[in-house]
Amino acid sequence: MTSSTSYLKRIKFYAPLILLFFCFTSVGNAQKSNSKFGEAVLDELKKKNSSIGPEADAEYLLNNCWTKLSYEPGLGWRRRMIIHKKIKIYSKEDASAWANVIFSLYGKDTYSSLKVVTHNLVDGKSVSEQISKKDIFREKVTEEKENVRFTFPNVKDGSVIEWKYELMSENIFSLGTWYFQYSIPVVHSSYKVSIPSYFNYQSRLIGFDKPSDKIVDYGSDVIYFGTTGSSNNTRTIKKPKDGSTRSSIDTKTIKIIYKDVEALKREQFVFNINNYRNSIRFELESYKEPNKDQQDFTSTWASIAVILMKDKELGLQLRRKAFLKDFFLEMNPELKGKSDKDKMRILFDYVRTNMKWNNNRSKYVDEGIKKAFEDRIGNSAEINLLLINMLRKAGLEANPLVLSTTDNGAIINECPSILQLNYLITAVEIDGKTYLMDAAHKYSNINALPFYCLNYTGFVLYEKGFKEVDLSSKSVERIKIISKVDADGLLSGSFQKMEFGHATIEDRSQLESDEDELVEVIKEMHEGIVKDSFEFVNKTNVKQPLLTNYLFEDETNIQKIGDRLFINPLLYIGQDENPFKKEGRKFPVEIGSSIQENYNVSLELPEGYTVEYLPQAIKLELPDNLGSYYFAVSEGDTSINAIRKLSLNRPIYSAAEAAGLRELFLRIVEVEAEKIILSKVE
Amino acid sequence: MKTILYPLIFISFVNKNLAQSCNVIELLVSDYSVHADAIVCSETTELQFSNRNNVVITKRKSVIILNDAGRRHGHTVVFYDKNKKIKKASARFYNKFGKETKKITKKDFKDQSAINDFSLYEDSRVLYYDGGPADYPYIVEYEYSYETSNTLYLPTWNPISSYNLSVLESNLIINFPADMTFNKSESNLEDFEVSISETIDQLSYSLTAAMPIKEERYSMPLSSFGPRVKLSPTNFSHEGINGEFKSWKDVGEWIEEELLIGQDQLPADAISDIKLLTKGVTDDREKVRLVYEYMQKKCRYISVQIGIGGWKPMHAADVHRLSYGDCKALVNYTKALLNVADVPSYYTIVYAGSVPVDIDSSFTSLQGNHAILQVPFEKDTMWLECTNDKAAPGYISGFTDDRDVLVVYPEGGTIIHTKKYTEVDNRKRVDGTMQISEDGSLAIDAIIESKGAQYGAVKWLNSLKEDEIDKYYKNLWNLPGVEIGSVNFSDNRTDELFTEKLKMKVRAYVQKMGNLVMFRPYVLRLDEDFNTTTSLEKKYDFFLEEGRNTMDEFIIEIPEGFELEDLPKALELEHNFGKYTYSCSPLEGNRLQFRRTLFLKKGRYDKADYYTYADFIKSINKNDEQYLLFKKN
Repeated sequence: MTSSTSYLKRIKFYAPLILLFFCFTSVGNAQKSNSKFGEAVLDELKKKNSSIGPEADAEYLLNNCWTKLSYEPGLGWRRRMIIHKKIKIYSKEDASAWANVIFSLYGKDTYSSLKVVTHNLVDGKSVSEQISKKDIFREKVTEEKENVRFTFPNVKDGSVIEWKYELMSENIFSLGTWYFQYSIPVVHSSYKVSIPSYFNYQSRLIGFDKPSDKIVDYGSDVIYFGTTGSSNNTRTIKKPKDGSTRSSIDTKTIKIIYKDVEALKREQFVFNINNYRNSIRFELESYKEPNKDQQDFTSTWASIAVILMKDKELGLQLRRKAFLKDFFLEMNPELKGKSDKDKMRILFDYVRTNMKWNNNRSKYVDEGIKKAFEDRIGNSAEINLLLINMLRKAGLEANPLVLSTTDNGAIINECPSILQLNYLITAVEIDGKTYLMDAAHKYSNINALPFYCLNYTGFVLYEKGFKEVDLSSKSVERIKIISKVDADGLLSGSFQKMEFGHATIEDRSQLESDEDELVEVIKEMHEGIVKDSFEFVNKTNVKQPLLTNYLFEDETNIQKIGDRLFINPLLYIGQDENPFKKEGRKFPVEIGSSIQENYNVSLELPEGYTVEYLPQAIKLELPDNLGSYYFAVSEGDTSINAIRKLSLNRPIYSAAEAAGLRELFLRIVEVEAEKIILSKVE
Repeated sequence: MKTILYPLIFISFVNKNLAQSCNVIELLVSDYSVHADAIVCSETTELQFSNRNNVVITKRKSVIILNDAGRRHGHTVVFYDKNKKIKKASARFYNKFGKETKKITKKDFKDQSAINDFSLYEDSRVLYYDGGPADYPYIVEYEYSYETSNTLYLPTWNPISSYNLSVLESNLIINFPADMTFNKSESNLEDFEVSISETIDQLSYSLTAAMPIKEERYSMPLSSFGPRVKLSPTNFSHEGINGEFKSWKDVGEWIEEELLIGQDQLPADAISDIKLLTKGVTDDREKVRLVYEYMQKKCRYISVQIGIGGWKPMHAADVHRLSYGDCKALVNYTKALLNVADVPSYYTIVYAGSVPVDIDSSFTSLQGNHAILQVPFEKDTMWLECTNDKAAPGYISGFTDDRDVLVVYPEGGTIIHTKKYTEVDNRKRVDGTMQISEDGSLAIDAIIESKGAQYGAVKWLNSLKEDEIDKYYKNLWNLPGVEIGSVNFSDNRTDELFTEKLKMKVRAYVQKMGNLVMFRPYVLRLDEDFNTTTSLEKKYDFFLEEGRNTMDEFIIEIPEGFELEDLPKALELEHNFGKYTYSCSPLEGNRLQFRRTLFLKKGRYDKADYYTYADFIKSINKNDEQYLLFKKN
């Protein structure tokens, strides 16, 4: 799905000149008795429920990782991880999924020493059973990925399941992400990493909680110089001139411990829950051997910007304009004499509608923009870089913008890393204003990006330098209903909705793939209301708002009780549910776009009826211009008019502000449930 | 739109210009492309048997892809395992003018494991190619062929495999030595005018000129009314084992001999556990309950598909030792345990799922996708679902109920119909009292009883945590400002009855407008399931998958100073598919009685009745919205 060439290619790294051996036993603190493998402490077996979350079906007693960097003769640096986990099962019925384990191996990763044990309390004593090799299965998922699968035997209420294994990987540029928090409580989780002084890693700690402990130890180790490289390795290992066979190297050991971590539960309006999960990530910043130059990897956004712009699968693609010569000859009559904004529109529309996106999200090209243009099909980077090239050739200031899609987690500014960025779109600057667009998505528009792009911020990359920009969208919806009621309570009218901005992307995509389905969905949403003459206007013309028009008739919306008619002034489009029902929200509210909803409903009254009761007007405001709501019903000679305006001005609200949103919507639901009362004139 | 009857296309598969006979330009203006995602120009599945132990299967397909939704019809997907060898696989792409644009060979295909996520391990892989050009329409022509010694399972011929698919021509050709015979099941072939030709060494089926079928809400699944042929050699080979299926008796015997025999030995501690557990118990039903609960408590379900093509259950001793197994293993294990308790039970094969699918009794073969256990008593039968560690013993609603299954008796196999949960069994009662307060809030004291199919639908509430329970009720009735006071659940497994006792308060339930107060007496309203669209034109019969049998009865207390102005009218509606009653009447002591019943019969109904059904539902929805009006002094 992502770039076809592995990141190992991007960073040129030369194998070090020395052999390094680690004395495993000497590193680290004394182990606690209950974190030694294979021994289930009786207290653990007797425990009846979690003290962190008493209702939990299971909890991690132990979730530890010890990472070491070691040098393998002739092979190079390796990351070695010893992973040790223990889970206590309180309810076998509800937690048995935890007893089925899968872990993945990528590329040339290998694993060893896998031990899998179930501990049970039998007659007051601990009884353990270990599974054998034949119960461990390997599944080759694809060329690049392999899964190891196993399950625990004899799991009962109260069982403690435990497993431990060693993972070896060539990837030392990133030590991966280690999670301290899961959807069940975690009693004790530690991450320990021993780093030789040649390596300089940058670490990122995220989540709501702070670690219980952070221990840093300094030590040293012995390195042995090898005499030869392996036959596979063209890089020779140089022995020091003084004839010594070994040297000492300083090491730094960092240990992070979390204790008694609460379970993390999913919530609505959260782009990616992993952004809030207690976890740590290490990425290689630089590497320096004595007597050699330092190699820098990713350390600042500025240096990342430079790396990306120098990459032949990103920045250097922008040098390739020759193949566009014929295209521009054809386009010239259309572009000649037009303003910059018009040219941007013409070229954006051209690429958006003529190039097919193969659904691959990437910041790097696959086959290159020239081939993509020839085939009329490409990944997201190819399509956007192609557009940027065209825009530049037309004399506009266009640049790539790299970002992290929502599923990839939010960018953490304090810890610059190339791996955080996984997508590329187009940024154009005209007269000091910035215009963002994703030419890969057919129905996106200028400054209306697809949802997965609305992930806080991204970076515009210039030939020299970069700039951070906000990624958010606007969503505007205007509904106008003209209707009338007859004396029997039958409602009829016309509905027109105008959508601008973000909301149109999904609807237009849906209209293209299955218009009938969208009509069904709308009908179901307002069930019982007969609709006719469905019409969608500007289905593909993204420059104009998307219009949805239809006629309706409804018998159920109006209550006739005795001589009175009870009508909801917003008919069937009022807010009947509070989207923020939960109190005490911990997470911010991530919507992605600011929202504006303007409704206008006019209702012609039936003959022989007057207005007995009209709901009061109301205006509600959130502090700091976060949002507002206005609702008013007015009476004319023969008709009633209702106006309703809702604005949520921010695409993202903090957890503290979420309480205000909840209250606002509670009031809105109450207000919009009120009815107009019409009574018959005697 | 003009109807253009498209003439039969004669296609030769060796012709490299195949795509050109697939006349895209003409087809695009014909009825074949209306509401179609793809048009199959021609498709042939050919089975070549050399003998019972060897068959080569070749598939060739030429299809025009019209839009994004149709792309999957051009994907080449071949599942395989260690007994199935893929001999060739290729694909060619053409543009609408018939010009070849891309050629894919076997090495361009992707190869990956095809294990289900919840499975521990399966010996299953898939070879596939799912690419394709950007512009529509385009033509894909693919071909693959594989050889296998497993002849028991042959691909089902299902030419109309989905909605919105036109099929100009689809053929199934089977070539075999003259002494081979086949068991077959042919469905709906006449409805689609499928032609059949049979000689001593060839059997072929051909479907032509099929227009795209549009999906309708409430229609039966396409698989039940589309043309279909299933085949299996009477004398077959499976994973190196030969067999002969001439009758269901044969199938049962084969299962017993090849899959079950010798798999039921239990270790001594299992035997003594059961003997102790059932000591002194004389009632067989009680024994079954005790043994079933023993197994549920001890074991977990995990899918493992190894051994004799995935059909052989794990040894009962292993299940006992490991405390896990898949459906086959758990059924076999439970059977072994019941044997120790002297209660006979029988391994049963079924198609599991919410919509009942029968084991096709006209097709003598190994069918089904799940195993359960039959325990016959003198006057009735109990069916045990062994993979669900929360299910009540004998409860199979919504999964394996009301369908034909194959039970393996020592004498051989027999087709039997499982328990049917009728609307009478599937009861839901909501009873209680409500108090309206001066301030407009409503206090509710309710008891909800769910039985039969309804029992299975709410039983899981028992495993919810406190905050999840809160969330559940708030979302269920969509009442604004709900505060849950107390919640109490009780699960009666013997009677399959689940009871919820609820005390809650709804703030601002009544609506005050001046001195008038509006109150909707049907408070705990559930109507999401009654979605009906306005397209009442049906081409096919409609199917109500779920029945209904609900009764709501509440006594509502009105505060002092609230004078009743208007009362909703009583209503009664009755049709062949159901009955609805609604009434709200005053009682002495400033109280009201609210009563509502709805009975909806599950089943298949004539398409002409759909208008009436839609009207029925609309009337119910409208009536449920009725309000009371009070005048406040």
